[in-house]
Amino acid sequence: MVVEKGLVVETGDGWVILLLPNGEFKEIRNKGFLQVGDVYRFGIHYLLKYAVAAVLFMAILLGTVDFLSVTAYARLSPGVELGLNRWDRVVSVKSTDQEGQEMMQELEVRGKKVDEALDIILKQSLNPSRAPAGNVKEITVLVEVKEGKDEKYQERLTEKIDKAVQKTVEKENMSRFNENGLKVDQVIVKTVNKQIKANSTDQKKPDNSKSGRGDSDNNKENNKSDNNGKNPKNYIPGDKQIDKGNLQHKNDPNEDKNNVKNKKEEDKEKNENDIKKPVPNRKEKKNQD
Amino acid sequence: MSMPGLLELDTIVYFAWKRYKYGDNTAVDDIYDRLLPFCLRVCSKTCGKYISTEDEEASIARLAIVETFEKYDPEKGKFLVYLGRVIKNRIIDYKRSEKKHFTVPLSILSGNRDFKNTVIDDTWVENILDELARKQEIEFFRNLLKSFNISFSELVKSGPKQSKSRKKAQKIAWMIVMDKEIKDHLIEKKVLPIKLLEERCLADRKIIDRYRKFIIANVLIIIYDLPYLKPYVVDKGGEYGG
Repeated sequence: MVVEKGLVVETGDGWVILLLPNGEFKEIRNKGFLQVGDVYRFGIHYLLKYAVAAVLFMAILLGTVDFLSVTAYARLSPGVELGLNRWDRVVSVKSTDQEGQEMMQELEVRGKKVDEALDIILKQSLNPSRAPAGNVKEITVLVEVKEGKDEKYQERLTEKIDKAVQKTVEKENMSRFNENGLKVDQVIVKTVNKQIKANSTDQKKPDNSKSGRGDSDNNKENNKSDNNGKNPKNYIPGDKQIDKGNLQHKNDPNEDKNNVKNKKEEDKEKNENDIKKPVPNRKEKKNQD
Repeated sequence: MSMPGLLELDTIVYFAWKRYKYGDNTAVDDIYDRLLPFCLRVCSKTCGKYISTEDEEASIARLAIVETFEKYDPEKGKFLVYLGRVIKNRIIDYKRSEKKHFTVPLSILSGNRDFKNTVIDDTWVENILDELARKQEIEFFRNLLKSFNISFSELVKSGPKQSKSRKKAQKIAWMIVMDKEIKDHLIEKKVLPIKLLEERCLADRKIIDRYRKFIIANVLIIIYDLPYLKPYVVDKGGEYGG
């Protein structure tokens, strides 16, 4: 520790001017009692200053590292993978397929809270241009938590994501309903919980999202379902995304009629609280193929 | 320790005390103004805060002066040392009686209070006298700087921060002191003859311009031979003479 002696040459409220042994005039903060002519010994302040600076630096550094470290992944069905940190903020964005890539070019979700990010992404993916009227669109959210995190965290995160997705979808459905006077779209949400195994990078980023998701569906019990109060049983695990409207657009010349039919059917289904639609559609598709 | 101003004060006080002993009551009044700064300093040191003449402590100090004049005996040591101890003890007594806020620093309480039976410790009072002398010198220096339109805060702001440039500036200051013509020019016109300085001393113009005030301050300390401040200007290696 360097101790310096200084001669007090002027005092003021909370500061004094010192003449240091090397001839330098220096103003320092001091709340102690000093008078002109005193010899003031100091030096601890230097050390304290450096210590405080070092501690601050370390805190910021560790904070940044901690902030940027991904503790969980949220994989969305449009082909987007979000890396979340411990404060549920998006710190990394990856698109696993072309659709996701195209979509994410226009969006900036990094640094946002996971529910905000999901809201933005889902709005974009449910945009009429991407999801034309009359579609049944399924959204899958796969939550993967890195090993070392307790189950509470996992549950909390899943719940949070689930809530956020449902909220957005509800809003989206409502707005469509209002626009067209009829509800034309059906959005189905599924949130899946999954724990990542340690050191297996393949598992983290399965390139075949379909099969990966299917597996996880079969394995995990935590399947949550959509906003319309539909039964999760109606879900066919292998079915990632059913774009019913598109299929019909391609196959049926009488689009309008079909759409109307669809709407009516949907309404009926709502009342009965029973969905079988995706299934026959899929069958149709298979048959046609 | 050389304290020209204070040895003087001590002798003056001593004569005043003799006058008082022979029955001249005005002696205390005559010396009072010269003793007051010392008394206030002792008070503020004891209390750990600034004491002005209006404070309670100052009036205690006044009473202590009278008491000292009555009790003082040259055998007990220097008058000022004795006075300092009396004031200190009276103030501690006062603080103790005022039990509501008992704020005497611990260091004082642990010190020996029974001063009549112990060997008088001069250093404490000597330090105060020393500080007073330094204060006088600094005030003199401040007024000197003021006549050159320089304040201490300006010296803080415009003084050289790096030791390299500070040494260069100090070197220039010494050169100015050595050169009679430049020195006289500075004292008469209160301005540095930069052109002349550049020619004579081959000094860097940048340093002269930038640290003009710092150089002037150093020159003044050297010329007026301020004993307390001079050690801060003279380089420890002593390579610039002294």
